[in-house]
Amino acid sequence: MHRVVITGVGCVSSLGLTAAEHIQATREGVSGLATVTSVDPDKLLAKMAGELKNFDPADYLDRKTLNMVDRVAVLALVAGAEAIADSGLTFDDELSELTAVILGTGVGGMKTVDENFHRLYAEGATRLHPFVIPKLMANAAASQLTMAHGIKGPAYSIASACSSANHAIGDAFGKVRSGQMRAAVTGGCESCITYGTMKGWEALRVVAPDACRPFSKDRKGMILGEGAGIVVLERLEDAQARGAKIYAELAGFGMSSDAGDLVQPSADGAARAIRGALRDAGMNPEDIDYVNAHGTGTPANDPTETEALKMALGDHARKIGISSTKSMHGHALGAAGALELIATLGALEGSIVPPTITFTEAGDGCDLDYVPNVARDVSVRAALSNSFAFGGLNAVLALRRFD
Amino acid sequence: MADTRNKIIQIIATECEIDAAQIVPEASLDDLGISSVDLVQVMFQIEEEFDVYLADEEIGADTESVGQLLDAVEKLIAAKST
Repeated sequence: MHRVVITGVGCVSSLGLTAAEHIQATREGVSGLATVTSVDPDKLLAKMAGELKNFDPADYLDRKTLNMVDRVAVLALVAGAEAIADSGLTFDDELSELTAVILGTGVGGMKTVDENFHRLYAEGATRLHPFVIPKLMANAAASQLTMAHGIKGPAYSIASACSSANHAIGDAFGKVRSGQMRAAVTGGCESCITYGTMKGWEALRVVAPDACRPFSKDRKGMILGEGAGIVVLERLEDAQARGAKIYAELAGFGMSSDAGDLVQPSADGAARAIRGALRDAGMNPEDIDYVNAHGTGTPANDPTETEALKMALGDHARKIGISSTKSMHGHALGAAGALELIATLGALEGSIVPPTITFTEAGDGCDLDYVPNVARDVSVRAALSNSFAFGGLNAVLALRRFD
Repeated sequence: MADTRNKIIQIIATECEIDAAQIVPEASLDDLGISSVDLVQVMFQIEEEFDVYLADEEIGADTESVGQLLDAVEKLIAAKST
């Protein structure tokens, strides 16, 4: 067994186009949510989204690459390049074969599906662009990252809806910890802010029309986001031997399935995943100083997650800050856990716990400290990052500050 | 027909990022570095431009030179206008 550390981070989100910008915005309590621009807002009941701002793919990728990729892979390539450059790793022959690329995505190349099938069904087109299939396949982003950086170990995508990124990161963590791999490039990516997807979420009646207010009494739901968060995992001894910057130790991972309802969350299932992460990390509840909550802002999630935290952490749940950064970057589905892991790294490294913004008044069954509206100086020794998905799939990461 | 040829050469130049001056009938697709995926992309753009369908028997893995490609497309366009 090897200790596993994070030595590179990259991120694009509605809060910024680098990991540093994303982290800084979460500390300042900035909102990345605004009226949607890539879909006609007049056709939507809930018009808000967390889209990337001032982002031109041509600033990052050449025309031939752009021709072959959906936007979701573009985001993964940009965040991946940042993370790998940040780590300082180069994938020479030996390391290349012992490095995995495992990415989470909820739906893959949805913009490609949406645009091209519209041409076919609605506009009477008789042929599709030849790269529709390689652009829409869910593993495209992972494959593109291997090609861009010459990484020749195992590479695949993991789909577990809103837990995809955490499942991917946890899977990569296991491979490095066991010694099967020496390093991993992992995280999540999602970009499905399309007319079809937004109407689909609208129909579920879980989308807020104005603001995402996790844990507040007047919360009305989530707001869809997009983005990619990528991290580089390495064995501690390798990172130390080459003098790499270490952001934090990835110490444990817990998973569970509710085996209950497809969309209604279960406190018991979530609590089992939280306990599992603590056990895996060799931590007690008292070791945790911060929890980055799943915190979608839906009526169902927030009291259920609150109950789960109390079940898993006991009285200690009342003593620590628990915030939802989705209030700022939106719910990026298959990328959510990665955007939140990077926000959590900011908390561990800077001793600043990010707030839950647009918080008004605590909702029924929401009686913990959600760090309302303003970041807080706290020495964070260890933290949890929760993801709970439709399908009853729960995945929790445990992180430890590395001094 | 010169106009058609120029349009096809321009499509190849754009899609494959090759200098149009190099795209002459005698040039082989291999020598120009045009991969099978590039060719699929070129075929798609030609179909869009001229509203024709390029069947696999006309253009595909057996197409070796720019000249073969130009001839095949010109034949299709001619057949369409008669």
